[in-house]
Amino acid sequence: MIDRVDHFRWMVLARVLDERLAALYRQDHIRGGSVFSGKGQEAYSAAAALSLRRWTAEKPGDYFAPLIRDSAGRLAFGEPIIDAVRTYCGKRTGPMRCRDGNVHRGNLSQGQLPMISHLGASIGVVDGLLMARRHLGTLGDSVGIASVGDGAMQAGAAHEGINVAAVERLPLILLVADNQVSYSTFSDRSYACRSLIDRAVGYGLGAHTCDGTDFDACRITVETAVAAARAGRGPQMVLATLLRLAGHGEHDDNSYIGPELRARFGDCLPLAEARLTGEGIATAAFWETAKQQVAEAVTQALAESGPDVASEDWTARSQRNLTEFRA
Amino acid sequence: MKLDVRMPQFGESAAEATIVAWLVQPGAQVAAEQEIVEVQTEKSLLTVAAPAAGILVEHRAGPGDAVAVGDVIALLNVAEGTPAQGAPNLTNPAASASSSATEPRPIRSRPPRGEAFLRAAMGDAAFISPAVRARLLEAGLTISDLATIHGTGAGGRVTVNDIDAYLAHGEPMNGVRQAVALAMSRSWQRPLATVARPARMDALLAHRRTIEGRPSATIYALRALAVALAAQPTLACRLYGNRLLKAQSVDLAVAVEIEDGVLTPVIRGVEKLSLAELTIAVGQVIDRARAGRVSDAGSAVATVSNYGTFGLTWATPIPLPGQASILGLGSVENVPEWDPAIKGWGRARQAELTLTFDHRIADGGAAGRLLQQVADLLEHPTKL
Amino acid sequence: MSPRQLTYMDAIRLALGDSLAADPRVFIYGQDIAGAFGGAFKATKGLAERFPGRVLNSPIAEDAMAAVAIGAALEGARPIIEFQFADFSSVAFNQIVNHAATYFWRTGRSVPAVFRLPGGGTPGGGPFHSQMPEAWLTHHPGLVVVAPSTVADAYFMLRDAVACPDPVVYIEHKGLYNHLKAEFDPPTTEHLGLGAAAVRRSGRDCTLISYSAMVHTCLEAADKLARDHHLDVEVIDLRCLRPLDTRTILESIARTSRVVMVTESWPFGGIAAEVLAVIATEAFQYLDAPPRRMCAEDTPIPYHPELYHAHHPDADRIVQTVLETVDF
Repeated sequence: MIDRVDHFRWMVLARVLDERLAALYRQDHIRGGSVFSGKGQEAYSAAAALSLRRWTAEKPGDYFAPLIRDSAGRLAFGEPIIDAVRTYCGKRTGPMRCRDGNVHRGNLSQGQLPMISHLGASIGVVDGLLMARRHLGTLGDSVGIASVGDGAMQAGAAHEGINVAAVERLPLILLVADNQVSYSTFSDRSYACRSLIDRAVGYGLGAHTCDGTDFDACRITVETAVAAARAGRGPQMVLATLLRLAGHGEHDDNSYIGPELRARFGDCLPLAEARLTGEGIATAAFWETAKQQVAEAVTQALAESGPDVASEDWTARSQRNLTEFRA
Repeated sequence: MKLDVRMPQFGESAAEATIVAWLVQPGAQVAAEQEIVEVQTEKSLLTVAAPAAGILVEHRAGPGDAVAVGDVIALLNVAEGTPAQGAPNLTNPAASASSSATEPRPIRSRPPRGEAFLRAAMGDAAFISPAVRARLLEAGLTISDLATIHGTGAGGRVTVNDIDAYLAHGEPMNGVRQAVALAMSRSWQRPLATVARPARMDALLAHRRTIEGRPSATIYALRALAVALAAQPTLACRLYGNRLLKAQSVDLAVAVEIEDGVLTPVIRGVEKLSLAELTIAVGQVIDRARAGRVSDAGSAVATVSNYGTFGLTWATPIPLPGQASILGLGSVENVPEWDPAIKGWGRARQAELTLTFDHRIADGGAAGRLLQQVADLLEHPTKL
Repeated sequence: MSPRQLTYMDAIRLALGDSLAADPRVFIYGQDIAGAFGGAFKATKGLAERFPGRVLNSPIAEDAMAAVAIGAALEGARPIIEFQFADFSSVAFNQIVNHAATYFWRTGRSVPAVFRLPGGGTPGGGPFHSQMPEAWLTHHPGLVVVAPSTVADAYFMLRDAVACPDPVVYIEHKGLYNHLKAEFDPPTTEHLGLGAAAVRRSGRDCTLISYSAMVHTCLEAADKLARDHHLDVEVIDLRCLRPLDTRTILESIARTSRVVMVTESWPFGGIAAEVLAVIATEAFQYLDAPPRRMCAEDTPIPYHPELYHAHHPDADRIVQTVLETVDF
C-alpha cells in the first residue's frame, strides 16, 4: 500500500521542479529544445512509480519506461532531482553526459529507461526486458510499466509492442494517460473508439480506468493493476482521463485548449491538497521542503560544467577495435 | 514426340530437390497436370505435375536422388506439336559459376551509365592520372620525361604501368651518381647565367715556383675568388626564398673528380688563408673526401672547377644547389701577343675564366665585375 | 573429424545451434521459426526441439521483434532476431537505427543483439523479397553490419555477431543458402574477425571489390579475365560493411591503381559510393583510372527472372567494365 501523504509529497516535488525548470527555460539556462511539463499528470504518474519496486545496489527492481509527462513518476521512482536539472541545463555530470537532453534522460541501473522521441517505441523494449528476465530465470514477480498517452497509443509501434506483451503474457502495465491532446491535436482526430480502454479487450489485457485528477483513485487503480501483473495475470492496461495543464513544451502557450475543456478537468494537486487539508493534514511544509530541495539542486547543477568538446569521445560503438581505419 | 519433365524451382532459395516416390510408373498414361512424383525440398514435401498428357516413358532419377533445379527427371511421350514445358530454366546467379553448361549471356549493348563524358574528355595522350603524377615524383622524373615513355593507355597516354616498365630498363645508378644527378637536377631549376673573359697566366706560372708547395692554378683561382668575394660580396650570399643571407666567411668548395662522380669538399675561410696554407688545406680536404666519398658542400657560397685539367678551354659548370656561383678555369693556351718593345708578336699564356651564377642574386654587371677582379688577381699574383 | 560438406544455410543453422548450446543467455525470436516448420528458409529447423523455450515464434510485428531484442539485450540476454526477409526489416528500421544504434552513445550501455536479415535477390523474388538493406543501415552510427559470402564466414561471423557487445546486423544471402557448398570444419578453420575484409584473389591489374553473393560473381569475372585477357585481377570481399576495412581497400588500390566496385544493391548513396569516396580521398595519388562502380539498375527489383538478371550485375558485364578500366 502506498502511503497517500507520501504520494502527495512526490506530486508537490514534481510540480515545483517543473515550474522551476520552466523558469530556467525563460532565463535561458536550458540548452536547446524545450521544457516538457507533467503538470496535471502528477497524481497518476507518481502513483505508477510508487507501485513499483525501486532498484537497490543489491537487487534490481521493476522497470519503468516513462514518457514526456512523467516528471512525477521519474522522481518517485528514484531519479535524483539534480539529474533532471543537469540534463536540461546540459551538464556533463548528468546521466546523459550532454549527449541527450530534457525528457530523454534515464538510468538503467535504476530501472528507468531513457525514452527516444518515437512514440510507442519503448513498449516493445519493456517486453524484451521482461522476456529476458523470464528467459534468464530472474523474472520472479517483477513487472514493468510502459507509460504512453493518447498520442502514442495511435503509433504502429505501440500496437506491436502491446500485442507481443499479450501474446507472451508478460507482467507489463500499459499506463495510458489520455490527456485530451497530442501536441495540439484533440482526441477526436486521434482515435474513434468510445474510450481507449476498449482496446484492452481487443488485445487481451486486463482493464483498469480511473479519474486522473483524483490522486486516491489513481493510486488505488494503478496499485490494483500492478498487483494483477505481479500475480501472473498477464499484461494490464490502465487508462486515466485527465487534462494536460501545460503546453506541449514551454515554447507552446497552450492557447488552443479552450475554456470548455479546461472547465471539465480539475488540477490533481489542489484537489488532493484540499482533501488532505480537510482531513487535518498540514501540507504547507511540503511545498517549502520541495522548493528548498529544488533550489539546492538547481544551485549545484548550474555551477557544474557543460561538455568538454575537445575531449569528447566520438565513438558510437562500444568495441573500439570495430572502427574505420583512417589513413 | 518426347517431352522432358524438369525439376521445378520450388522456393526462392532452392538449389535442388530429392525424389521421394514416383506416383506414376513407366508405361502408364498420365493426364496433363497429373501429379507424377513427390519431391522433398529443404522446406517442404511437394509434388511435380505432368506438363502435358501422354505416356510416361522413363524415370531419370529414383527415390533418394537429389536433382538440381532445371534438370530432367522424366520423359513423356506426347502427341506431335505439344508445346514444351513452359517454365524457363531459372539458374541462380550465385550458382552460375558452376553452371558453365549454360551459354554466356550477351553483354548488353547500351552505353555504360554516367561515365561517357568523362572518358571522352580524358582519353588522350595528354592526360596525366594522379598515380602517374605521384610515380613521376617518386622516380625523380619530370612531366617532360613522359615524352620518352611509350604510352599504352587510351589515346596513347602513359599509364602508371608504362612508367614502371620504363623504369625497369637498365641498371640503377650508384649512390654517388644518383646524388650528383639529384643535385644537378635541383640546381638546374633556377635561372643560371654565365659571364666569361680570358686571363693572362704568365705571371701566375712564374709566381707559383716561388711559393712553398708550388700551388696549382686551382689554388690561385680559389684564393682569387675568395679575395674578390670578400671585396665584392654580392655573390657571397645564400638565397632563402626571397631573403638573402650574407656569408660570415668565404667558404669555397673545390670540384674533385673521382672515378664515378664528382666530390666537392669545402675549405672554410679561404679569404684568411695564404697560398701556402691553402695548398695544404686543399690537399687535406681532398684526401678526406676521397677516403670517405663525402661531398660536404653545405656551407660554401661558391665552387671552383678547374675543367682545364681535362684540356677544355671553356665550359658552363652548374653551381651546387644553395651556392650562388661556380668559377671555371680553362686550360692554359699559348696565344700571340703584340710586344711593343720588339714591335712584333710574342707568346703569352692565357686561360679562359667562366663564372656561372644565380641570376636571382646578381646581374651580369656584378658578376662581370667580380670576374674582372678575379682575372686581375690571377694576372697579378703578388696581390694574393 | 574429417571436414564436412556444408551449405551456407547449414553453416548458419550450425552457428545458431552452437550459439544456443554455448551460451544459455541466447534465444532466437522471429516469424515461423519454431516448431517443426523451422523458419521460412529452415535456418532454425530442429533447434526448437533441441532447445525448448529458446526458439520463439513472434507475431508479424518487426518493430516489436527488434524492440524485444533491445530490451532483452539490455537485461543481459543475447537475443537473435530472424527477420523473414531483409526487406521486412524496414518495418523495424526505427527500433534498429534510433533505439539499438543510439543506446551506447546515449547511455554507455551497449545492446548486444543480432538481427539476421535474409537478403539479396533470387530470380522471381520480386520487389519485396529481394532487397539488400545495407545502404540505409550502414548510414547510422552505432551498428555493426556484416554480409558474409562464404560458408565459413556464414558460420564464424554469426558466432562472432552473437558474441559482439554491439548491435550486429547480419545480412545473409538467400541466393547462397543452398547453392553454396564447401568443406567446412569449424574447430579447425581459421577465421578473420568481424571488422576485417578478405582478399579472395590476389592480382595487380585491377581491384574488384564486393561483398555477399556478388563476391562469387566477381571471382567468376576474374577467372574469365585471366583466361581470356591475361589480366590478373584482385578480388576483395568486404565481409563487414560497418565498420569498413579501409586499410585493406587502400592497400589493394596502392598495388593495382584501378578499381571496380560491384554491388547487387542500388547505386545512389550505397556501399559502392562510400568505398569509392574513401578511395578517391585517401588513395587519390594511386589512381591511374577513374574508379568505377557496377550496381543494380536504379529501379525496384523486377519479378520476372529475365528482367531480374538484366537488373543485376553479372560476370560478363563486370568483365567489360574491368576491361574499360584497364584500357583507360
